[in-house]
Amino acid sequence: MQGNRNVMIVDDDAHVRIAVKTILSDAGFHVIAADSGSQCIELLKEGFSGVILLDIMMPGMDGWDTIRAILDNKLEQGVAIIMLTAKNVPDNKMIGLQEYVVDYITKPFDNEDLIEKTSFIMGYVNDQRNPGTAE
Amino acid sequence: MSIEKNSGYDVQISHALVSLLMNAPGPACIADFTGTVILANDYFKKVFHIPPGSRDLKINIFSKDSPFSPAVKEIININEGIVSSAWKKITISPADGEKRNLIAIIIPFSDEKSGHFFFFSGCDITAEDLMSPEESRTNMLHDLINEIVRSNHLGQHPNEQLQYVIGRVGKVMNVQYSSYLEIDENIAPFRIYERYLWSADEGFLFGNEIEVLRDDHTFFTIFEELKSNKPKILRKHEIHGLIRKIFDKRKSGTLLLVPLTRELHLTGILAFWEKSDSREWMHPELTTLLVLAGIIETCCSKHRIEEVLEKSEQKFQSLIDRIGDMYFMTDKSGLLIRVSPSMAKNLGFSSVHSLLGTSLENMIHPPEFWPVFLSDIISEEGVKDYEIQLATSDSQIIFSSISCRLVYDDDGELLGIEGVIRDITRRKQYGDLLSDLEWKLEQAQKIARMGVWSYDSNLERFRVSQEVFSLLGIPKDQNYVVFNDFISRTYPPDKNKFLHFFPLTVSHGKDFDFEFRISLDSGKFRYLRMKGTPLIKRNVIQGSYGILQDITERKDVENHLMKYATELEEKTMELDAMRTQLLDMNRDLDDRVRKRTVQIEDLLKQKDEFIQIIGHDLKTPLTPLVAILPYIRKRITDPELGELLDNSIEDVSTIRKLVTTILDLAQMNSLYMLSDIQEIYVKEMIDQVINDNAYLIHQKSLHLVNDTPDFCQVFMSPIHFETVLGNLIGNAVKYSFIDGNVTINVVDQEDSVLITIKDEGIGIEPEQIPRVFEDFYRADNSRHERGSHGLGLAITKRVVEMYHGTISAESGGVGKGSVFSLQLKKNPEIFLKKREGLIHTIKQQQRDKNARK
Repeated sequence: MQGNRNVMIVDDDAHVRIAVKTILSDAGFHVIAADSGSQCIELLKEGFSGVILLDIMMPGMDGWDTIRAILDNKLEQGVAIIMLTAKNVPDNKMIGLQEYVVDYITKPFDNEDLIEKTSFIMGYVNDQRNPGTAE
Repeated sequence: MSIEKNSGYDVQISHALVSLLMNAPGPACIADFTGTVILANDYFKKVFHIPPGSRDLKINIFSKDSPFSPAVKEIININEGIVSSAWKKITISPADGEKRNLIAIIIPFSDEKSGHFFFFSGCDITAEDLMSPEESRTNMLHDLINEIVRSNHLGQHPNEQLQYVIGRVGKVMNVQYSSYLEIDENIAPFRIYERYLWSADEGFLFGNEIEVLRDDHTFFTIFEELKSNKPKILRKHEIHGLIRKIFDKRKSGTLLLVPLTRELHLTGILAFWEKSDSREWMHPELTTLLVLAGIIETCCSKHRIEEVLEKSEQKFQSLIDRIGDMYFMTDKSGLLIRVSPSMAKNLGFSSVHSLLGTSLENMIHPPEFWPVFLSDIISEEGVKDYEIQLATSDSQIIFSSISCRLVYDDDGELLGIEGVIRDITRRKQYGDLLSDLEWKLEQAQKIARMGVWSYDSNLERFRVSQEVFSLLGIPKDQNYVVFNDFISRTYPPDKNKFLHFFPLTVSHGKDFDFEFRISLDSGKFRYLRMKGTPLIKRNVIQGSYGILQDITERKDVENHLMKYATELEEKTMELDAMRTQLLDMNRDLDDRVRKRTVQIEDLLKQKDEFIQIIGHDLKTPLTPLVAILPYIRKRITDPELGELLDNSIEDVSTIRKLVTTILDLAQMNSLYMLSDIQEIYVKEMIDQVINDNAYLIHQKSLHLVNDTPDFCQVFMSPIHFETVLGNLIGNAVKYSFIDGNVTINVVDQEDSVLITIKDEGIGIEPEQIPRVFEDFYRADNSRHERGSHGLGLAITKRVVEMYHGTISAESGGVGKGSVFSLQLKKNPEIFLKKREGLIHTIKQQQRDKNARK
């Protein structure tokens, strides 16, 4: 398979990070983990591109704050964000940032669902990076 | 006619001229222009002593020997060569010596061949000339009178004939003017019209209107004298005033007035004006004139009378024609000789003429009645308003009223019967109707206990209906009622009321309506109501009339009602007091409820928040558990461990479901939702849900039918749609018996989609149907299974309502299956907008997913 296979899991819960990393790595993705929004920014600055699985509820800088920081640092190129959420409650913070979210995955998730969505969005990221060379 | 002439040549003379010549009343001849007589009649020959039949005339009328010569020379001027016809009275002395007076007429005529000729004629007037002028005038007047009487022209055409007579008389009388003075005494001041003014010189002139004042004494005196039927001669020098002016104007000297009188009334005057003021009229002449005047008056008045008669006759006829009543007249034998058109019409005859000649007897019905009728007429000389029946030509019966009398002529001879008949069939019918109505009214009055009265203020008496007697308790043999009959029976305290109200109508023309009581022997009262209004005839109040009504029952009821009303009022007041208390209590309760509600709402909010946090805190550790356990399971080869792990995986899955569901419910409560609303293909989604239940469907051998049209879409979150359909289809599958049918029917309506899920399973008890959508409801506790927590339908309902849809359940009862109906709007406007691109992406994702399947 050609192209990017990078996934970043951003979650404050270590067990979740391990679970996601285990499942997606098993599915052939290259997974790196970040325990906070600020670490996610650091990794992006280091040149990460690919799918970001972003937990919404995190202490301090939450998922939405993280998206805003990505935009502020103009790091949105080459990334696609899937929000990982335990609660279905939208809040005021998401207004104006929703359009940068490609999909949502509700915790707890089915492994197949996670793999499927990640694969699909990954294809989307690669298309964006290399327009005209899809499939 | 060719005549051989003495001079030897022939002359053609017309027949008419010869005939005139032969029949002339005196000597007549035709002479040529030299005066030579060519033709002469026998009279002429006799004058000149020529034997009759002789043709040898040898006479020249111009010669000196001719007895005509002096006259001829006088009237013909030959030398001037101008000849016109002329006449002259001449006297001739024939050979026998007797002098004759002649009127000589000479008429010239000419012939193209023979030149001028003269026709000479003489009229012998010797006899007339011998009479005195008075005699001859009298004779002529007599002739005129004879003519008038014989011809009766004056009677028929008085105006033209009177003019003719005036002219004739004037001529005969040889006066300057003659005229007729018409006197109209009906007009004041009375006027005299001068009509048919004839002048000896100019013929008829237009009549003047001589207006005479009543105080003109001269005329008044003259009139009075004329009334005695004597002619009056007026001389100019004796006359003054208005007539004198007329004398002057007409240059007249004498005026003869001949009166036309009738019963000492002056109806007209014959007037003769004479130039000289000394003309005399002899007695015979004046007498003749008076006779003439009398005849004129008779003729004219006869005419006038006839005219008046004719007019009144016409008037009479038109009256008869117009009257609605039938008029008739019979002759002695009872045959109709005169009937009005209305009679013919009413009796069914096509015209008056077809009725004439029939006997009055034939009209009477029944025929036996005729002698009775006739003897009544004869004995009374007539009858008035005699009621009798008449039979029409088509045998209908007319009720009629006849008034008639016997008619006699001036000599007392019976002429017949004259009378009028009035058709009273209608009246008769109305009469019957009226008496019927009167009877009904009387009955009605009895029932209503109401009487009618009228009061005559002149007689000071009442006329009352029977009911009034019984209401007042007056003996029925008393014919009338007086004021005291009322007053004496009135309960004393009400007497003043009566005395006040009753006279109002008569004194002030006002209506009244009052109630009073009369004392009964039993010691009780009778309440009466008296109502009255003035009786006005010809703008004068003649009394009053009205009703008297027994209102005792009504009064009793009123009194009862009053009592009840008072009680009711008291009760109402008590109730009001109680209501005030209740209101106070209510207000207190309201406050408490409001406070409690706020508290409960707070608590609910806290609960939701608590569940949110709990849910999140539960989900977070569940996530790695759900993800990792299957991963580990793959690595385990030891069957014993694998089975244990499978149990764990199943338990975790149950916990996850429970947590998710509880969180869903909490989310519904707080009305928040994930905003991933999109177009959903209903058929695909239902297929997917069926697929999710495939295991159980297979296990129970169920027959599922998805009867959804392609392309049917709703706008909804797929999660919500799956929740709703998953619950409903899941239930249907869960509660179906083995080998049952489940039908999912979708109807694509205009702006909504109707989805029905029908199963043949355990059904629902009717009384439970309203409760199935409640939280934690479970229709049957025995059905409790793992994974069922009684929240499915509650969540479903909330979701549906969030999208403004409706959901309902039906069931034939336990064991008879259930039907869930779901109506979803195609475009519920509650969602947040998403970027088009993203929607596209997700759709793509959906399609890819389906494609992969």
